[in-house]
Amino acid sequence: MTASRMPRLVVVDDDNLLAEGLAGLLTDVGYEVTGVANEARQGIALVDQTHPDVVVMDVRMDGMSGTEAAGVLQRRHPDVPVVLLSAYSDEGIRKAARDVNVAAYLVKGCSAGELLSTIGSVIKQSQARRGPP
Amino acid sequence: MTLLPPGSGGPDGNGERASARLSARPGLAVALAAPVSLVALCWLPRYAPADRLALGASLAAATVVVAAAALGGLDGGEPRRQAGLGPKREAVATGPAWADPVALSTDRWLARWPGVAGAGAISWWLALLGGAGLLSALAFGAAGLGRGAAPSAMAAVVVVALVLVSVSSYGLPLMAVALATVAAAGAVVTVGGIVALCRGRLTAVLLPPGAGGPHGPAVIAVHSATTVVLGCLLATGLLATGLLAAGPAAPKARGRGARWAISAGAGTVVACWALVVPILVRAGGLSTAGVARMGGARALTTALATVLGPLGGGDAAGMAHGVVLVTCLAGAFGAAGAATGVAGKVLCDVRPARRGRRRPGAHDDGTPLALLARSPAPRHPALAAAVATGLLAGGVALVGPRPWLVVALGGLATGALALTALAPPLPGRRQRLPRLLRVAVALIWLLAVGGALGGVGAWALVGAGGLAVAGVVAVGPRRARAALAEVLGPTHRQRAAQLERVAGTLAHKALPGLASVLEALSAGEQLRLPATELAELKAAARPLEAALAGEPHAARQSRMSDALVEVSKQVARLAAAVEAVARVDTNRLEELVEVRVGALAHANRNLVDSQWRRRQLLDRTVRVAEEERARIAANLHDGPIQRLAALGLVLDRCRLRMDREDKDGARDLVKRARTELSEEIRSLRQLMSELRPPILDEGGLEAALRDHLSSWTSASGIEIRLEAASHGLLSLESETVVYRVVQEALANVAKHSRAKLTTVTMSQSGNGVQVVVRDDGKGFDAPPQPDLLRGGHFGLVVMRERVELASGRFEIHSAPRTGTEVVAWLPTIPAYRSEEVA
Repeated sequence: MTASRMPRLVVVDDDNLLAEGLAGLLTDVGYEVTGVANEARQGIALVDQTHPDVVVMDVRMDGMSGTEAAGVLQRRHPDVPVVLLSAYSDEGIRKAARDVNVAAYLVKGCSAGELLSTIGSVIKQSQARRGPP
Repeated sequence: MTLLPPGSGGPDGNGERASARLSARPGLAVALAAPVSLVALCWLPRYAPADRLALGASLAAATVVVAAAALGGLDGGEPRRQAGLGPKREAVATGPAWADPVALSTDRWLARWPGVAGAGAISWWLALLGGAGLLSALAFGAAGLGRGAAPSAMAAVVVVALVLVSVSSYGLPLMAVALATVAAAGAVVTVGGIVALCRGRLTAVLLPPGAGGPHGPAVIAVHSATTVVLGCLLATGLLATGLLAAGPAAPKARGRGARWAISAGAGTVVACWALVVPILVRAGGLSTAGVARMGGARALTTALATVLGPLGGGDAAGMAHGVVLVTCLAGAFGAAGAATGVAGKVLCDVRPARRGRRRPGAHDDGTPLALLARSPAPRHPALAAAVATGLLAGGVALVGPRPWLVVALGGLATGALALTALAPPLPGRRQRLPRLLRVAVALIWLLAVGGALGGVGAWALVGAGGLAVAGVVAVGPRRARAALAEVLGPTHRQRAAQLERVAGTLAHKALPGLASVLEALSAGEQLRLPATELAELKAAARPLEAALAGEPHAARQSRMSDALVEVSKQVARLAAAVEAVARVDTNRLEELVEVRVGALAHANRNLVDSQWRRRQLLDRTVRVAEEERARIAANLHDGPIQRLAALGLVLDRCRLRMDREDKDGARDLVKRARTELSEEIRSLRQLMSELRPPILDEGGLEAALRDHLSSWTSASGIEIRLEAASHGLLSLESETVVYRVVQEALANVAKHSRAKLTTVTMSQSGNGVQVVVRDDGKGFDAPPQPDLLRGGHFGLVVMRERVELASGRFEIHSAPRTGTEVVAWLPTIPAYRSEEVA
């Protein structure tokens, strides 16, 4: 990744309004949203195709859940961090998310600043693990 | 041979049994001894062949009767059973013993066959006849009376003895009369003997051969001494026999009365031996002189003829003479022992009565007199046959010169009486004929004897009559008349009195008990006891009560006995019927128990099934509730939370654009956020409406249903009609139930029925509101209500439970291709119903 290239993200959420809102916010602050998916399998396919820097994904979705999709991505793309965004704040769901090594777990309703700082921190950690180009 | 009277057995049970044994002995003894002696008399060489033939015929008849009495064992045993029913037992036994139908049957049986009881009487008469003969033999033998006086005296003694026996059986006053008569007879005999002696006519009948010869006094002395010794030995043997018959423990077991009787008998024996001593002394002196006079060989022959006569020693005349003397001697001593025994019994049994043991109205209870009164000997018409037979035999034997007259008269009377006695009694007047015949026989016999005796006999009769009159004066005319009445007809009066006592006991003891039994059985009638048996029992008891209510009478007593027997049979039948009923009831009870057990098992199965259904329903309810919560949570997650989160992001983006001075972009985002917010408010209202339709509270059930039906038809595309008539007021809970039932039913219609038209009807029905949801869909095989859960129709089960919990009724009617009809009925508010009724 070069300095001039903006971080690339994929948004996965079955609520279309919220997915579009997330994508619009991330675009507004300068990130490149390579794709928006309403199902987990579509999101995995987008990641396979675009290989983004970060994946922002909902937890509760029809079909495959965000936690399961995070596990799949962890096996396929260990270097792509996943930020889970859920309406639930239950500790059990948080633990399940930690088990699949997600980069961060955010509760829906958080502020845009908290969301953007978390994504920025995850990107920096990811870049640090990859080392200088 | 024992001659103890039948009544000497004592009043207790042991004594009763002993008396039964004792009473059987006299008959046997006399059956053997009396005929033998009389037959021997018949062969006396001084009689002509015609006389022997007549006497033999009479004796044969007597022997047959006596043998039947002795060998049949009925000469006292059976009548004693009757006597056992006497009042003595009344003191210790109550109703059941008195109501013994077997005893009454026996009594009636004996009454029907008098010859049986009369046969027992014969033994007594003949035994006493032998005793009378002995007395005369001793008297004349010892006094050496002449030939002419002997028959007269002996006949008089016989008559007196017969009167004595008849009278002595009926009580102490009559005993006094009898004793007076005996004393008079003795006086007559003595006077007659003295007269005969003075006229120099010594007897050759009862004295041994040679008594009238030159050695007469010595022969008489040896003969008398020998016979007295033999008599004493025989009396001792009789007493021993009596004791043995009573058993070794008799003195203790039979109490004071038996001891008195035995003591009296022993005293008699001692007295006999005491008499022997002077006789022996006298005989010894005479014998010495006699032997010196007639020589040793002649004296020895005479003694042997006397002693060994019965055993066959000596010549024929000596043997016959010995037999007569020994037999008469035995009878005399036996009679003496019996008399002393009776006297002892009188003393010992009367004494306790004087101490107050006797009860009012039981004047003859258990006393020897009562026992004698109940003895079979004088009580029965058949005794007349025995009297006639015995008298005929004795008369023929004694009245040698003119035997044909006595034989003809006595034979005629004997035959008539035998027929009367042995024939079954005639109803009504049956008692009168034997009584009259007895009187006639007595008169005939007295006339015959008087005629045969000539002057001496007439004097004897006059003397006896005078003494009898004196006896009557001594005891009083009333008692004498009563005694005479008892002599002439005692059987029926005693029988009536005894039955009267039985009736009294029955009236006071047995009938109350029977009445209580009938009451108990009548109560049992309600428990399906056999009505027929009860009616028979009552019908049988009715004549008994009537008989008891009336005056005692022989015919009524007989009917009463029949009624008693019938009652006992009916009671036995009833008992069997009750037992059968009890058995049937037991079977019914078992069947009932089986039915109840089956019902309980069925109920238990239903209970288990019901519990299983309730558990399934509870699980289903909990599951539905959880599902409902999950659905609401999912709705909240998918709806408001997502949109509110999105709105938050929109607002954040709006702020960012405003920071960049991008007012147009910020305005677009605000506009978009407002739209999303409105949409979210609508979604939340929809969710709220699903949870609890507000219109149900605000507009009522009908409005809520119309609202739901409107949205339902829009969503399902199925035409729907609502027919809501005026109905009563439902509680809020019942309205909610109706709304949910309709909501669930319509959901099922939309989901399963493929219907084109659905109708919802709500109307008044009784005290409640009935709601019907009917569709024209494909229908299904609706299972019975209890099996809804097993069929997996959880929605229907939930509807039914909701309705039943609200005290309503739920039904579902459906079949393939006929549509489905769901019916729910719920009660209206009671107050509203009362207002509506008013």
